[in-house]
Amino acid sequence: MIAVETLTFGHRGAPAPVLRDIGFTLAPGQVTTLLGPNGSGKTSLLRCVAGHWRPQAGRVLLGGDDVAALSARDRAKRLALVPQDQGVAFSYSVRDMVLMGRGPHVGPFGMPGGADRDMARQALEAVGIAALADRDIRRISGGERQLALVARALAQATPALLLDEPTSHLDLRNQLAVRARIRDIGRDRGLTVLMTLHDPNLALMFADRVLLLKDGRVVADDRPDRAITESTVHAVYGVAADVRENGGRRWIVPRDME
Amino acid sequence: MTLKAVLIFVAPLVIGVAALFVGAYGLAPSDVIAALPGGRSAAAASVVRDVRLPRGILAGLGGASLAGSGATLQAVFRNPLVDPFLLGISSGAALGCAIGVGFLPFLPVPLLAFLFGLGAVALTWGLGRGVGGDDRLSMVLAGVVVSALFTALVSLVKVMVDPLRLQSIVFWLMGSFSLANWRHVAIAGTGAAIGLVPMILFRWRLNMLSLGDEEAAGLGIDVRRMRFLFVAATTLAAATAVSVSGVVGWIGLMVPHLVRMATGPDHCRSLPLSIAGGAAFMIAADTLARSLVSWEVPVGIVTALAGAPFFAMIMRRGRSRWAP
Repeated sequence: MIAVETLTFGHRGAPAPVLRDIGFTLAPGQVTTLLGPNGSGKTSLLRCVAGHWRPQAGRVLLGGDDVAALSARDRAKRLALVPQDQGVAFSYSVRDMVLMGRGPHVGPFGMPGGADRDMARQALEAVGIAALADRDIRRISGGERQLALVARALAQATPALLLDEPTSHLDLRNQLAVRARIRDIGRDRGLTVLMTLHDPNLALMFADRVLLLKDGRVVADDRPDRAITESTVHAVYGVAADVRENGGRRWIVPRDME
Repeated sequence: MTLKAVLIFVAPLVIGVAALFVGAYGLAPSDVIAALPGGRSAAAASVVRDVRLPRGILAGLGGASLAGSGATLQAVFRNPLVDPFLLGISSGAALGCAIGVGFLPFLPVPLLAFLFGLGAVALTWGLGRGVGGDDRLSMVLAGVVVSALFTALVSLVKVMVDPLRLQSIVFWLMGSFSLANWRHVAIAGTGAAIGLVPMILFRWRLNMLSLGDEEAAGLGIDVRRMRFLFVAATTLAAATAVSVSGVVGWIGLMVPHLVRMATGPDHCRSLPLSIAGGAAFMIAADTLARSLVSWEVPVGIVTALAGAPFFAMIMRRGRSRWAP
């Protein structure tokens, strides 16, 4: 379980904080989306939850312990972060990359063993890219690489999974495939899933819960269909839009911008 | 283990033994064999046991240290073009040598080279930390600054000293194993052991470190501690190697590249193979250096002369699956 308590974060020397007085609790088995426009503080919040950045006030609790007090190793046993695809300096195989998820579980002087390799293989199978195990991580498609990073997070075997814009560089088909897979795995394994998104329609499709951010504050925290409305979209994105329903699904359709 | 890997591990031994049969002092193969421990030929014994054998071992240790350090720093700094001298070891050691030869003839040059090499890296580390920001980039920048400063000081010493001393400095800077003896072997062996063992023990973490600080931390790596450990280990190994053999370039950059192209970048395999490959390459280069012509060619020249075209060839051939 992840609990964020009255968290405020700002960059050193910056006049205004990036995140202000944020609080929420995440339950296992749910996919929660941090939704908001560019610069609303989504990624900052994700970094604070992951423990990479320290908030000026408030705290983040992972299973009851303050994330700031945990060692990198203990943190990595409790939550796995799927970063944005940012390029790799070396041509590791997909298998080697996924095996790195075993980092927090291998002893300080140790090397990954047979059990770790099995878990990496299972993780590859779970996301459906076992056939790519021997391929060069730099020479597979963006969607496949994103799935490899998800597999690495699964190999980490943590109760919580954080994803930073997991499909921002993917085409339509891959977006849907990656997202559906993340949602299914999260539900099957009872993971606490938190991901940032900037597209409200994707949040409507895949999230159980939406935290809507604007200027570093949470302005809505609810089921997607309640959090994402004509008025909140206008307030947060500054875009006049209609909510349409089609086949039981809701869609945000922007009106022409003036 | 693949055949390639086995060959790379065996190479230093094979080349090292072969090197014993090559040299300026003409010895028949049977004399060399007779001179090996257990043999009885006195004249051959002193050539083989006191000259060729320590020289081969020293070259092997130097090559292993430089290539292992190169492979490690390339991962730590996430850049396949990094060499073991990135943080200023070579310019620091050069200044130590220049000051020793020029002004402090009563102090051993290896000691001064070692201390100044360590000092240069310490200065780089302090400067890089002080600048803050992205640790890795500021560290590389600090290395450039420190190298420039020390190189300028070396040049200053060069114009101040007499031609004879200038010549000694220049020769030392080109790198050579010609003064090898068993004491040097002991020094280089100690430095290699202290430096290479932690690199080998923690080598899997190099994979994670090479992904960047945040990602490595997310995978449970204590980034600051690990980076310090690797930088300290590579500094010890490389500074010791440089102190007894001068600045031999190319090996630390090239060998890790060749190994990655042969067997992939996973450091569980590529680090030990780089160490073995570095030893093999350096022994071969040194054997060429002392046998090509009637006088000694500095081994640094051989590594560059042989290495650059070889490297270019491999690069062209492997372009389709270029794996830096």
